[in-house]
Amino acid sequence: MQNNLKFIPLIYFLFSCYNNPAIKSSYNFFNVKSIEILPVEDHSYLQGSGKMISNSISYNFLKLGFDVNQSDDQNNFIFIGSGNKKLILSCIVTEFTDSELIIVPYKYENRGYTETVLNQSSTDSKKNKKDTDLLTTTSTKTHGGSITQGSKVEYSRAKVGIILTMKDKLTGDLVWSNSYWYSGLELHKTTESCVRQGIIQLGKLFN
Amino acid sequence: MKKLSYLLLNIFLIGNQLDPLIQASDAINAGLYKNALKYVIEAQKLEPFNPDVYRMKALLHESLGEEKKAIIAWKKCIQYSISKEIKSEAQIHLKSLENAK
Repeated sequence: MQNNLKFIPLIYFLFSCYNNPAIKSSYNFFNVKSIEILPVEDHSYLQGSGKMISNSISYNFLKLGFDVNQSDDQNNFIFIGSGNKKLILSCIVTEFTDSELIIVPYKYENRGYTETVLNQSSTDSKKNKKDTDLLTTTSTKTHGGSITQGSKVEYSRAKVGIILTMKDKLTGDLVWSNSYWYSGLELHKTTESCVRQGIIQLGKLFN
Repeated sequence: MKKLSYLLLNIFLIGNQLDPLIQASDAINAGLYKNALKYVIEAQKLEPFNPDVYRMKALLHESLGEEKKAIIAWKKCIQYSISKEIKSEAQIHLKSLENAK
C-alpha cells in the first residue's frame, strides 16, 4: 500500500507535465548560434500547407524579435546568439483541415400552456322576468410541454496540428520536441495561432 | 398535392429560421460571423448552460479579433462543459489568447 502511495506524486507530476515539451536537460541552449528551419511537407488535405506553416514559423520568430534569413535553397535561418551550436528545426503537419464538422446538440423546449375555459349561461326565472340566474363554470387544463433534443446544428471549423522537433546539427541529438493543435473558423488564422503557440514556447529556451 | 408539399416546405424553412442556433450555424457556414454572433447571443439567452453555445461564441469572437470577449466565452465553456475534449480545447485557446495579450 505504501509503495503504491509513493507513485501518487510521480503520477501527479506526469499529468502536470502534460503538453509540456520534451527537453534534453543537459543541452546548453545559451550556446546556440542559429536554427535552420527545414522545408515542411504538405499535408495530404491541402497542397501548399507546408509552405504556409513554414512561412508562419519564420513570421513568428521575426515577431519575437529574432533575425530571420532566407537562403537560396529556401531554408530559413533564425539567428539566436553568438554561440557555436547550430540547431535544425523540423515540422510535421499532423492535421490540416477547414471542414471538421461540429455537431451541436440542441434542445427545443415546448414550455406548455394553460388553457382556461369560462362558460357562462343565464336562465330566466319564470316568476319574475327581472330575476335571472347566472351559471358560471370554469375549467382549466394545463399542458406540461415537452423537451425535444436533436443534433442537427452543424458548422464546419478549421483544425491544424503540428509536431515541432529540434535537433543539434552536429551530433544529431534530439534536444526539444512538442506537439500543438488549434481550432478556429478560418484556416489561415488557425494556422497562425497553432504555430504561434510552438514558437512562443521555443523562444523561451533562448531568453 | 403540390400545394401541400409547398406548404410543408415553407413550414420547414420558417421553423428552421426560428431557432437562433441553426441560424447561427448557417451564418458561420456562409462566413457571416457578425450575424452569427447575434444569433449565438440569442441562443445563449435560451440555453445559458450549453457549453457548445459558448464554444461557438468564443470561436466567433476570436475570428472577429475580440480576444477579451473570447476569453470570457471560453471560461464559461469550461464552467459548463463536462466533456474532457471541449475543456482541453478551451484550455488551449485560453493559453494562446492570454499569451497573445
